[in-house]
Amino acid sequence: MKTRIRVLRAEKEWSQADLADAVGVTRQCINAVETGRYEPGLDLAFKIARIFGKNVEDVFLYEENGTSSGGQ
Amino acid sequence: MSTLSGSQPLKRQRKNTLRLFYVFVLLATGTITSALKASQRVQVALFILGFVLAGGGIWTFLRFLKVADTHQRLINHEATSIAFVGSLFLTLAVGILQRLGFLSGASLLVPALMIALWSIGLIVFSWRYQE
Repeated sequence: MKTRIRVLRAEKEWSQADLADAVGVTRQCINAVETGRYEPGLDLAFKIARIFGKNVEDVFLYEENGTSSGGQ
Repeated sequence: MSTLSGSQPLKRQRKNTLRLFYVFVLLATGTITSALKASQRVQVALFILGFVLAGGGIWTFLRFLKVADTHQRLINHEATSIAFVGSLFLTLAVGILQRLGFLSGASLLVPALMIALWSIGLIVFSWRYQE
C-alpha cells in the first residue's frame, strides 16, 4: 500500500509531529506509515484522510498485483 | 500554512504512564530486595508493600496499553513476544542451575529479567520503525 501523506503534508506545510498530534498518534507512527513500514488500521486511515479533507482512497493507494487503485 | 488542533494531553498521558510504570517497577524491586535482607517482622510488611507496588506496575502497564496508539501496540506486541520467549529460556536456565545447586533464591530474577527483556524489545522495535 502506498500513501500520499508526505505530499499532502507538504502542501499544507505540516510536520509529522503536527499531523501526529492532530490524529492522536506518535510521530513515529506517522513516519512508519509514510515510509510503508506500518499499515494503519481503518480508524487511523479515516482520521488522516479527514484531517486532509480527502477520502481514504485519495490518501492511501491499495496495490494489487502491481496495479494501484484509488487516488488521483 | 493551515493550523491543526493537537492532542497534547494524550501524548503526555502516554509518556507519564510509561514513566510511572518504571517508577513502580523500580520501587517494587527495591522493596522486595530489601525485604529479603530485613528481619522477619519487617519482612512481611515489606513483601506486602512490594507486591502492592508490583500491582501498581501492572496497572500502569495496562493503562499504557489502553492509551497507546495501534502502532505502539504493535511495537509492544513484538517486545512482549521477545520478553516471553527470552523468559522461557531464562526460566529454564535458572531452573536447571538451581537443580545443580547454583542461584538459590533467584526466583525474583525471572520477573526482573522479563521486564528488562521487554524494555530492550521496546527500544529495539521502536528503533526499527524509525527513519
